Amino acid sequence: MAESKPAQKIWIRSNDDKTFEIDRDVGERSVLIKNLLEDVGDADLSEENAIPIQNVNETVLRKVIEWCEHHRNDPPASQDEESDARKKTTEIEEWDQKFMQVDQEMLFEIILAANYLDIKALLDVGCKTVANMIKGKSPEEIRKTFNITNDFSPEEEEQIRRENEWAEDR
Amino acid sequence: MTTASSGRDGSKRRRLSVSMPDVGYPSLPDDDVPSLAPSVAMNLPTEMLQQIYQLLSPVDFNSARYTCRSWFSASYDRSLLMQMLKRGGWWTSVLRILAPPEMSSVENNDLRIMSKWISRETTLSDISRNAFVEVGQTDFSGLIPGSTPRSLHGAISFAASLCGRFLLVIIGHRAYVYELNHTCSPEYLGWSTPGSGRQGVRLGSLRPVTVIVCPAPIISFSMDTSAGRNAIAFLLEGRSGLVQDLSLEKLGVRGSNGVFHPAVGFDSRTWSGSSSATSSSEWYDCICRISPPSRPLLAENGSKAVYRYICHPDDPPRSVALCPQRSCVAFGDFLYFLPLRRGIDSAKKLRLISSAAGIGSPMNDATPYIHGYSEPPLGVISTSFVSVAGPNRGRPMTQEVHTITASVDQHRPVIRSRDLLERMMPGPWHEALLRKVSARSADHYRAVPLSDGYHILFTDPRTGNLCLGTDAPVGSVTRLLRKVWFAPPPRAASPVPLLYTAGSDVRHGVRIIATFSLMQDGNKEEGEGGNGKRATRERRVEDKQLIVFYTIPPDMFHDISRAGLKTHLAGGTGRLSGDSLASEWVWWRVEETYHEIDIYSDPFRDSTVYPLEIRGQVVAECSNLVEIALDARLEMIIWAFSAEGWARTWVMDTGRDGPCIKSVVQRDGSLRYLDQDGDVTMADAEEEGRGSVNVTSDEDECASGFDGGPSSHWTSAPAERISRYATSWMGDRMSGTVSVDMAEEVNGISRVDVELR
Repeated sequence: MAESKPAQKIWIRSNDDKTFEIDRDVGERSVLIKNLLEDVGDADLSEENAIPIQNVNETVLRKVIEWCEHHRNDPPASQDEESDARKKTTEIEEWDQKFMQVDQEMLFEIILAANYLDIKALLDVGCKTVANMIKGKSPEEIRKTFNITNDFSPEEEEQIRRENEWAEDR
Repeated sequence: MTTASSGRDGSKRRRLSVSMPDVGYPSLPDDDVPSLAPSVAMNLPTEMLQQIYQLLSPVDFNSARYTCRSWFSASYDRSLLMQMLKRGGWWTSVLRILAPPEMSSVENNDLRIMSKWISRETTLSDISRNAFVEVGQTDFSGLIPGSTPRSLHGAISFAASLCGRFLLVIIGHRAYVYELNHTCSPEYLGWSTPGSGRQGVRLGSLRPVTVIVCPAPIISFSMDTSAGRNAIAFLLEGRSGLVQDLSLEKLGVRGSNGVFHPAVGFDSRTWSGSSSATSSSEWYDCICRISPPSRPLLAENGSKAVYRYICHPDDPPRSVALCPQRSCVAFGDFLYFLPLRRGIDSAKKLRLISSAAGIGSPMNDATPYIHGYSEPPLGVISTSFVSVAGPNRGRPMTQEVHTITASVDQHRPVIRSRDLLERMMPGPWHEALLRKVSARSADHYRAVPLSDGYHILFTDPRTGNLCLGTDAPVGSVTRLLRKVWFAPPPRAASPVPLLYTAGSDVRHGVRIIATFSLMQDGNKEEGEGGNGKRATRERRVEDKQLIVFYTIPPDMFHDISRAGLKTHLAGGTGRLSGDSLASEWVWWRVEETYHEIDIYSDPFRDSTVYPLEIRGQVVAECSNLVEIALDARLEMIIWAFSAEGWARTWVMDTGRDGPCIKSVVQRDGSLRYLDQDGDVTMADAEEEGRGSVNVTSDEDECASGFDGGPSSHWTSAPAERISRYATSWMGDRMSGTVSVDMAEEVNGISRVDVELR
């Protein structure tokens, strides 16, 4: 494992060719970047040789970096915490709640980026935010919230309407 | 990528790249899907959607997955569905339904069952919606010539059997017996085959069974076929009683060939796991086809036993209870035999509860209850009889049980169990009831036993709330441990339930319906001109009630049934703890539906860890209801009966559009179906011509046998008064036939345990 130095810089590049210089410990919030850094070695780190983040554009990557900088000193999540399915969906710390106050496209882009970059804590926050937006809503209200088009066929709609049916009436 | 697969019907269908699971749902070919504006939410990877789903309650999960194809597809994951079932507390249900792994040939069928069960149960537990749809309306005014619908207040009364299977319509001396929710095949009762057809009488309609004419006006009755006792016990005016056996042919029972019929022993313990086959020809021969509803009712000709001189003239009995598993009948106050507890009670064990509610309707004479509590309410002796008829051990014996009741209406009118509103007086009657409940009476107030033999529904004497409880582990045996309390709906005028009953099938949880008085709208009253007070009074007379459906999930019921629930709850605090052993439902109780309450605040101060609060779903508003019934099987059938002479029926809405069946009861007790214009349908009219001949002759014959004197068919069972507080009554010294353990008596409550040897 490479030594982690407080001031050591790394460079990452979005898929629209924007290069970001960030502290190494910020970048290592991403398991993907952390593994890449271990593979390439310190000698190969340079602005010209920035790590390509192929699935994330500049705007989203900037937000992700902002989150990683804020949470750079967070202790690693314990196994118990990670597997605790009982955590209430509303339990999002205040800074993260404000951070996630973005338009929906950005919200889902952040979630996708967190998934791609393997930043579990950010992914959790994103999923919790979405879950909270679902809570207490009907399917139609959820569609409106997330701009989802009802793409069920009429036959499927009929099946769904009768999903509660257990035995058919004669 | 598209793939072709063969559906259940053998047709080829194609699946989309984000494929619908192969669950039998029709799918359109790719090119039939309309082009959509790209939505990020719709294109989330499956594993990400599943991660979001894992953060949701079952109700929210169920809503989310029906938004679009990709979201539904992502929900079709075994571990996710299992997780949701456990969170909802429905896992034990699904374990019952799913075939054992070695027999489960199709994985998708399991997923389909799990998915459908989540959909079904979330619909039933979501208090923000109404899961029920009305399917039937029945007009009983034809039983009384010259009457018109909604004019029968007080002239007709309804009572459902404790098993919820039968309805008695009582007019004076006559009791018309109808079967509710008749189905032809016991196989239908199985839950393992979604989509299996229902054979039987149309939902929302009745099957006429028989008519019984008693020698005196009927006060009360008792019937419970859950253990195969096909008889009805009547308490009649003049301190007399009648036990009438129902003939098997009228019930449609075929005893000789051993074919099981749901009319007998439909209790879950009896037919659970039954694999008895019923062929289609047997369905065809079902009693509902042999004797259709349009045939006139024939008088019951089964054997009878009459009881005379019951109790004392100055303290006559007010209620009767027929033991479901033995030839035993008890007369007293609001009596119930408790069902057998599996693994504990033998068939010889009789447990009887008597409750102060049997004093009658709180509306019979509300004034004493309103004003009477400055005076000691105690001191009146009432009497119960436990008449243990031992057919193989000589003559019948009768046990007299004296109880001290909180109050007694000496001018006892005709009383029907749970008939609370028939004699309702204008005024704040629910306050009267609450005050009455607040008397120094113990538990078991208006107690109704659950079919499991352990739990009892009752009205909390201190708060008036509907509660579910069991015997308290320590202290007085008349105390009940409150495990669950059922919150009244927000629009209820009072927490006191007016009527309540539980479905006898508790395998998939406890289903309960209750009615509450509807809060009057003050603003509306003021808007009715200068006659606001009068309007208020008229509305109260109209007595609008809310029918509320409650469900206790099976996992929760299982857990609270165990003595060791304390390990699941934080001892002493009453709060749910982080105990890792706790069932999943504990952590995912939807706040709007279930939540624990602070037991250190009144009114549950003496509880230790309970109760849990459950809120219900409002099904409908009705006026002047006097009886309700619930069939907790597949369709979740609710019946409500009004003193005005009509009944309405609701079932769980399964998305099938169908007309509401309207039927009218004729004078002979038969039924006619009405079309949408209110005309009798032709088929029924034809039947009418055939059947009407029998009516007169049968009724004449029926009436002639009941002239007040003993019938040649009757077996006289004279009552014999033995002793008082006979904790060792007869049993020890009298051939070892009977022993009685009597619970202590507190304020009119008594519990009696009888062991027959």
